[in-house]
Amino acid sequence: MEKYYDIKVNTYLGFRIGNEVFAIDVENVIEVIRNKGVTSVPKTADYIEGVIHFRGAILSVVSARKKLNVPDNESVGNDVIIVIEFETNNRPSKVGILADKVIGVLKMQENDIQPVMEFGNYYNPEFLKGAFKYKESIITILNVEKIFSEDEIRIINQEHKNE
Amino acid sequence: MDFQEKFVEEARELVYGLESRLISLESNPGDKVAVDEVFRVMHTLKGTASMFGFESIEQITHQLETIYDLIRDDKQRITDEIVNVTFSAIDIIKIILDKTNNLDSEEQSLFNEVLNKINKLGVADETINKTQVKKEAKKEDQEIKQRGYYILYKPDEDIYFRGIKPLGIFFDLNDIGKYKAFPFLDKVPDPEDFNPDKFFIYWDIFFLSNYPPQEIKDIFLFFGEEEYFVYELNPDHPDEKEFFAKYTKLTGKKLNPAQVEDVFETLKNIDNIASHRQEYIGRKDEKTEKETTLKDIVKKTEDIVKKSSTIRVSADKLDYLITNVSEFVTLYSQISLFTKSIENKELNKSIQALGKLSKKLRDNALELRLVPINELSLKLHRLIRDLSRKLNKEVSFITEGTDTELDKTIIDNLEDPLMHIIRNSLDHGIEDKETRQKIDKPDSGIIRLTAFYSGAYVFIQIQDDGRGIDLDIIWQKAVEKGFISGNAQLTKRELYDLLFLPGFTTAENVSKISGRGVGMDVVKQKINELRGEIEIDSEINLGTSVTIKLPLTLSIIDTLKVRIEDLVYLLPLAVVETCIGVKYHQLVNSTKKQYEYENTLLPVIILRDEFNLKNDLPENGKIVIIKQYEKKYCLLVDQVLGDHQAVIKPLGDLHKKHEYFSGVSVMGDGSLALILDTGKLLTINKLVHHLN
Repeated sequence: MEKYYDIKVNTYLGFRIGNEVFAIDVENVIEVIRNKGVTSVPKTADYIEGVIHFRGAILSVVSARKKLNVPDNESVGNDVIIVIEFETNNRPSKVGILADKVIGVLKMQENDIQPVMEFGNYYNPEFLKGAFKYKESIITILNVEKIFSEDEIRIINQEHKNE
Repeated sequence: MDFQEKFVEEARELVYGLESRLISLESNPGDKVAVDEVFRVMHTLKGTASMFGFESIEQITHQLETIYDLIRDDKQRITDEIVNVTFSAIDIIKIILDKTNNLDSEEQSLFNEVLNKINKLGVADETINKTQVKKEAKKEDQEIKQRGYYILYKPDEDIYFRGIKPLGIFFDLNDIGKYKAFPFLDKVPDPEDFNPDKFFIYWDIFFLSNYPPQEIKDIFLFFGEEEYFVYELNPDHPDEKEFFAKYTKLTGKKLNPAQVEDVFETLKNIDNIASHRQEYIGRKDEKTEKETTLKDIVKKTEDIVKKSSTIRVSADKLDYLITNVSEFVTLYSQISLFTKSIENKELNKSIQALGKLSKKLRDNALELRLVPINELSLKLHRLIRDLSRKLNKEVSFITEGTDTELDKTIIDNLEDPLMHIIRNSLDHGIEDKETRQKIDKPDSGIIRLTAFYSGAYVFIQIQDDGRGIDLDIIWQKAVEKGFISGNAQLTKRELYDLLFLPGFTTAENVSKISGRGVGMDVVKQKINELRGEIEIDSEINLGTSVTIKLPLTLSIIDTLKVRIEDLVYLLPLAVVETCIGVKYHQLVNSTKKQYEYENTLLPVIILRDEFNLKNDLPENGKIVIIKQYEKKYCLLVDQVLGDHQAVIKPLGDLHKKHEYFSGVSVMGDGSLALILDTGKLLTINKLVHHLN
């Protein structure tokens, strides 16, 4: 029988965009900062909002709303920037994600997490790691490595070159 | 960093130093200093390599050490073969270091080959020399035992008050043996602080005598224990603890392990070393020689000080420091902005001082990244040596201004372009001996590398005295390949610029070394990436020169602040010619995007359109005329705000590959401004293509 100490618990940072709630593994999160304005960079993909100054370096900020195509039925907040770090091609990469509001740190048992279904997903299943139920709402876990992978970035560059 | 990495790093440095010594040894086989240096490096490598698991390096260096030891003692003549083998040894050592021992089969067989060659050298020589060595040893036994001493002599400042003549010691020493003394002047104060009643000089003395240590100490009868230190040299059992503790106590200096090694190396060969330094000692004819020797001595002490005050720091740490300093500078500008309205004398004073300090700090920090191009020129020297042999051409490489310093990143990225340019010079520029003789040129060609500062730029020039580039041939080739039309009229400059086009080559024969038409375009691209420029100039039969202009550092740039809608952008000030006020509608609504300036129509890029900004046009705009690649272009902006010294930060991770923003600068108020790479902007807009 599975003992309580065998159960793996994962910790996520939950945040709200519009009506949707998403989560990111806290291991990826460096800091959550208030959005004091993003400097936009012309000629970049639509969902790349621009750059900010963070701890002495320049950080690209993306709109998860635009990237994931979240239905926009609430007023746009974009109040916080979640700074995350992840690996692409064995290189650490940092990116800021615009979100409306942070819900908090959520502890979830691994076996409560539902796998991503191939079909019937509104969002691109490639970008998702799974989902879990939390206080009556379904929270989707984002796969940041995939969303901001080198391949993705290359496609982005191609896209705006073709403009 | 673990010990092995540290060893690899240090060994690499040693080996690079070795290369330059070998090159000078090759042109001047009598160069004793070079032989000593080679020996010393071999010795050090041999000693440490096996400790860090590099037995293969030990194998290689062991035999070479023996050979160079013999050369040092004039028991073996230096030959071309020895030098060649040493070069191959260096190459294989480099490979071993790079791959941390994991050689593939090809490299392994190379290693065996080199080791074989070395051993052959060694075997032949050893048989002759063993007998010689034996004879010598016997001879020495018959003589009375000579003792070597190291003496540190440091008379007290107030020695005159005790009625002692500090120089008297040297007469006493002279009576009972031979000495070599090296004075140190670092304690001597500046002229304005100088007190003639006091004494400031101290000496390192190497002394050879038949007398036992006690006798030597007796000479110093009138001196306190703190003023002298006599140490009998016994290379086999150096009592290191005592020696270095005393040394530190008396001089206040501490020696690092490498220096300790040095000291013992020096002590071992006291006679040998001392004879090289004869020129430093003006015992006789003191009056005439004093001035020159004093200079030499000062220089020597300076060198010592320089050597001992270098610290090696990892580049990461430096970058971290620089990031923090630029952060500090930014914070300062913010503070000075916020406190502008506060009228408080004390506060303003402090902030002013802080401003000065932050500027100094920034300059210091950036300077840390600057390194001389010396190391680079060494690599080039090696390339020239190898290539000229392969091509059977005689070439001498002359360098000037190799102490010119550049940002480390620039230096690292310059290696390939410079190698390529030099390869071209050697292969296509310099003629072979026979041809040179026919046209009355000296047998040996010249490649010259000159580096110098000019303003905020460094210029690097590579000249050869070869056959030069024929403009007619460039023109013909360009027409042949369809780069230009048959009736194109091009200036000299434009013709030379054709050489930078991809796929363009004038070489008749594609050789192994160069001439495949890949190259100069890549060179130009690399230089441009470093925010530099490159130009070719040539004179038929006199030679070719390639000039590269580079910014001193990549992290700071003077810029012009311009505004477009609500954002500030920065243009590199170096390309800005002038600014002119215009009416926006006139330009935007006309069909031709051109502007007349000094009787010429210049192409206009409307940045508002370029950036896809759709808001209403303001009434007035500003034209910024920029000069790039010898041509002028106009950029239309909303407003010009003045100049700004920008600390460049790289764009965020998702923006790294942006077409024409080369970085970001944090402004005084904490906002960000994008830095526009005008060269790339023009290329994207197809305004730069040397032809059409």
